Amino acid sequence: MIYYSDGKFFYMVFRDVEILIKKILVGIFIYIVPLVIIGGGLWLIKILFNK
Amino acid sequence: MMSIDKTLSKKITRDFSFSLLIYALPVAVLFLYFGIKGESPWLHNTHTPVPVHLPATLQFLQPVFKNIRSWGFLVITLVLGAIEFALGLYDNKWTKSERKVDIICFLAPKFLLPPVTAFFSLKLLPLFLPGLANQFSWVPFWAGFFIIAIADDLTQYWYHRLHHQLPFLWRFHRTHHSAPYMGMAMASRQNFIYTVFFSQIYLTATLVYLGLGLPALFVTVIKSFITLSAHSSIPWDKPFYKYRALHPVAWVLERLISTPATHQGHHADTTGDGVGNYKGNFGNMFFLWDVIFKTGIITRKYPTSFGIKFYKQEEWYAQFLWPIFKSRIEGSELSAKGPEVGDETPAYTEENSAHTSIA
Repeated sequence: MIYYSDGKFFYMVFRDVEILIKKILVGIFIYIVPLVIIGGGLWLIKILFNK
Repeated sequence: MMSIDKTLSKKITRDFSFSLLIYALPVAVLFLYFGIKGESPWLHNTHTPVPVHLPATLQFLQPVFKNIRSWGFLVITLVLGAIEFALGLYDNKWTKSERKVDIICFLAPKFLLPPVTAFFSLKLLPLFLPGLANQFSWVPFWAGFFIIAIADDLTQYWYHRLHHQLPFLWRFHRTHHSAPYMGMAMASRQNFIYTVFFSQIYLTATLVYLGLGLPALFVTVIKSFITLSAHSSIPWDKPFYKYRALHPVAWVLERLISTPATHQGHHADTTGDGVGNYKGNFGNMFFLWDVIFKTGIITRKYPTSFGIKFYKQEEWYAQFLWPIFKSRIEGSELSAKGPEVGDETPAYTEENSAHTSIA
């Protein structure tokens, strides 16, 4: 994935894209886990006390 | 490519598993609270956002509160930055190239980030969580405050820690550590890719969407002050270590929140002097996470030098937008064929890992 190259500074290669994707996945993981715990917990409070 | 040591991998898994309990703690307390009080506030939930009301004496701060994510933070930083300059705390290390990196990292995200977060909050959240807006606005303020404070800061702790401990992530965070000085500007001196994928921004935005807007606002204001003052070159915590009468306060403070002493230790360029701990002290608002996971050291001392030993004064565009732009400097971590981590450190062991102690 080469955008431009005049001295090997202005481009991204497949390896960079791979690192970026891995970084985004790590970010999504540490976003989803607490969200599920907190959102699920609050939802559970509502359900349990309604019963 | 460097691989992750097995011991480190195990410790990360163990600590992250324990974090799940910490995330759940304020929700569990809320469960007990409703169980004891017998209240069911969700039955009267109007599903509307709670308006911001500050006490009369703090009314003058309302605009800063409301706009903390845009110009409110900017104003606080500029005022504190001006104090640092007046006190001459940057010395002669703020060179032309460092100024460029600091100013671009400070200003550019103010324009680039809001469209991204607005798109996430206004388009993606209603799409993925339809009909759930303000679903949890029945959560009492005190509980919302603890939920947001823990969720936001513990997530940032993990985001930050992983960028130090997983070699393939380090270069996204390197810009934050490259400056050979400390100051207000450090709080926003980040690679943009690091900033735009901050997990806690999106987590808090989601919790705001679900109805925790008011607690989120308060947490953001408090967190902004703690984070900025921890990055500051003004050692506001010094009197707490100097005067014996204040030692009990210091003991609590340095374990609870990030102080200049503990956070400057994280920005030190060495770990060999017993003060610097760039392989630990990851806490942003709360230092408590470092205490719990044994990734911190408390010395009540300040490092004498900051930055990274293998810094090559890379160009601003490489520091701000690696890996999109690469450095032309031979051997740089940010260059096309540079090393993943400049100081190829020995494998992680329990012995050489940071541990909480008081010197």
